[in-house]
Amino acid sequence: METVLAVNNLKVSLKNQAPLVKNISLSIKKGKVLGIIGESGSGKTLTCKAIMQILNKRSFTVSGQILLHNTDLLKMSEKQVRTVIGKDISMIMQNPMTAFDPMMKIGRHITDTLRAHTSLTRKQAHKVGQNQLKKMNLIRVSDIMNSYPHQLSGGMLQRVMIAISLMLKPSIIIADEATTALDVKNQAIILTEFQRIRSSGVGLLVVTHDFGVIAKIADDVLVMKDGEVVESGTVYKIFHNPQEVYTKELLQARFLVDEVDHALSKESI
Amino acid sequence: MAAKIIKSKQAVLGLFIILIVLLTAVFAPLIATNDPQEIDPRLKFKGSEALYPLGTDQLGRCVFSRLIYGARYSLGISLPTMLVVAVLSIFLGTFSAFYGGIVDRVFSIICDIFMSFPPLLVVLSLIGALGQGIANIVIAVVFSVWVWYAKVVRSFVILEKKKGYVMAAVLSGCSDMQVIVKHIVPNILPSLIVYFSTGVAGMILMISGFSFLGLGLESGVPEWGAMLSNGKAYIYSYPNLIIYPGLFILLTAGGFNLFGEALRDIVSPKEV
Amino acid sequence: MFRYIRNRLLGLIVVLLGVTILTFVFSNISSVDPAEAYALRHILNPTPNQIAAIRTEMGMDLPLYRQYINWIGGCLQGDLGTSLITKNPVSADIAHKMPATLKVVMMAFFWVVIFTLPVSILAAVYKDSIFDNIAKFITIVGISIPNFWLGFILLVAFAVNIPLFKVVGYGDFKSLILPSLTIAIPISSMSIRLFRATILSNMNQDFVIYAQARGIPKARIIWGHVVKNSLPPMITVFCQYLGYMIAGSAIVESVFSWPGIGSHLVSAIVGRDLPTINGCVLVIAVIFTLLNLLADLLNIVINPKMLNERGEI
Repeated sequence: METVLAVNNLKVSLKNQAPLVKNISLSIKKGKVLGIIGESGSGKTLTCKAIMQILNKRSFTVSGQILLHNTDLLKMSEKQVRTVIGKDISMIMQNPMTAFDPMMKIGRHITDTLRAHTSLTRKQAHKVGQNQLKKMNLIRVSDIMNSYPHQLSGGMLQRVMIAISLMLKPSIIIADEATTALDVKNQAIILTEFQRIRSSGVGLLVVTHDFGVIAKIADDVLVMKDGEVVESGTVYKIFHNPQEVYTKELLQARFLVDEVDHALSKESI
Repeated sequence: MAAKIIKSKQAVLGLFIILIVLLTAVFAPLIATNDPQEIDPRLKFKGSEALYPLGTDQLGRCVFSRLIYGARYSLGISLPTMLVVAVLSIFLGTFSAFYGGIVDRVFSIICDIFMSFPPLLVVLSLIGALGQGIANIVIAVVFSVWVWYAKVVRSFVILEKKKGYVMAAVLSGCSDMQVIVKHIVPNILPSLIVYFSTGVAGMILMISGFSFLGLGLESGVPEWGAMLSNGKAYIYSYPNLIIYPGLFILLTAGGFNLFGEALRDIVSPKEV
Repeated sequence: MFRYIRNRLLGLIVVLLGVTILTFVFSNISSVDPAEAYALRHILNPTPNQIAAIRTEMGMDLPLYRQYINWIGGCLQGDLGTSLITKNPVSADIAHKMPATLKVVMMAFFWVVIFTLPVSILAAVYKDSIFDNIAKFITIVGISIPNFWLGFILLVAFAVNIPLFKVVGYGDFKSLILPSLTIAIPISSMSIRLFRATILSNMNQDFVIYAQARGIPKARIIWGHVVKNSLPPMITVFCQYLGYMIAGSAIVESVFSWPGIGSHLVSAIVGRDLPTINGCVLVIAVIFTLLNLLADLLNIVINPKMLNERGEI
């Protein structure tokens, strides 16, 4: 199967300082889900931002290869990058409540994105955007288009963000802790959406600290610690036969939480 | 923090200027070549010479000596005023924020009322009511600016109050006084010092502005703003009488601004 | 929204009431007896009886709260008392002097906006560039410079060397340029620094990162997101500066012999003309308060989020 995104020896460092992320290599195939898991501060988000080329160039240096359909993003000019980012590779951010501009209507976010990559007029873009929201099973889409971010719930905004990420038919979507800020019900909705995205043949990079999310949707897993990959493999291998001590610890911590949850829920009954 | 200050060129430059002005003020009698108040009409508008390095003014007073003594007035008024403002605003701001509730509500309304007056206006009206004199200037300036500082202190304390260590101190049985004096104030002090040190620059400008307007000081005093005011009649014939005092004000205020801004970058690097 | 505006207006009334009380208190802590001052000024060798008569006539023998009520009653009808120096109604004097100040302040405000927006945006976008560093240096000089001195320097430069602008005196547009620049330069320096910091902090917001991730062009991100979100605090600050400039006009008016409200106030202070001092202070404070209100209302108009957040207060 075709590899959509391949990252080789990615290294990110603050100018003139020791690298924050090093030797990251990964690849994602069409319709597959790669999960990256690690504690906060392990460099997951930095890796995503480096792939998306949205790190501040004045403070960060990025080296290695980021191959999207075999073209190295790091070798492109800033202008070329901008035509790819948001179109062929799109992103779902961690906190939907702050990712949208509080002074801009949702509709404008959508039409701006469309118009940055196509030659649609504002009116046409508005139509396309509405249809895209409808595809996400959202109702009263024209109300949504006319709302300001603070008027919508986090779950709703997250679904809008997914709609935007799918709108320009990308070949890969990066989701950085996309479920963390949501309640359980909305998490479930989002994960279902992810399943749908994947079955439509889009590659997905899911960054999370939650093994539950990984277990539900990932095909392959990368475990990160202190800016490096400590273990990688299929989801089955990571769960059933982890090699590294760190991975085992992470898993144990997770199950401990589960047990406590379980015990507590019994008590409350 | 001291190490970071030494590392910052801007902070060092600012501190250097402040120290020079401070030393000038302290050792003015040793540096000055003449008595700054001595009038000799025969010597008026002299050019620069050994005994009068910057010449003399319209009354034959030594410009250089007057500038040197001027540092005493500039710092001697602005620094104590700032100290009073600092103590007052920390006291009021902290108590208002710490006790909250009705105390804080009333305090906020009072603040709103005071903040409806531009500071300069309060000083002008107070000097109008109290009459002139250094003490009245200090009172008037304190009265006009305390509210702006107290508001800042208050917002710092409100943020600080929510932090875990304050709760821990309260839960472990510290008295209110202990919590405020031993925990909250030491923690917000660095940010406040930044705020106060840039405030000094504003105060130097404000005070020189009043003496320029002829409000506050008795005539003949070698304050920079007053010197400028005395020289304004000779602006075209002897512009130096105006240029030197202004440069000294600029330099002193600039020193405090440079230092304060550099401190801010050190204390809260995010804001840059 | 209406609830917010209603609450804001109620608050305004409380503040204005406080402003009048404070102005009244300021004038009453004075050691001068206004009746005596008035008598000394207008009667040769006044007898105690004459002074007492004047005091009764001025209503100054009444208890303080009655005096306050009389005074505020007068204020509400536009009667701010009679000047001890000019013998004109204070309100007439103010109305006569105010336009000159407003002219120069509006011009200065125009400069402030013209200087602040482009310089602060460029300095923030090209942070640490040569331009940013030059702007940093100039603005630090700008906030440290005494504005009366700046006025003189401009005077000397333009009167003696480049007679481009009409220098002293009051009249046409050309004579406005130097005084307005003198007011505007220090204020612009403050606002450039402030606006630059605001823009920089907004550049790190999540919504900017998300806009980058959607491939929005840089110019559009700067204008559509960063600058737009920096405007609300800027509007508040600009309105405040407008008030400062009116209050601070005294100093610049003295340099340029400008016949405005500021120099009127200073000469009233020197002449201990209490009714004029009170009147000027009250008028400027009211203008300042109204400007703050204006800033809040403008912010409501442009910031949708404010409706919900502040409406609930």
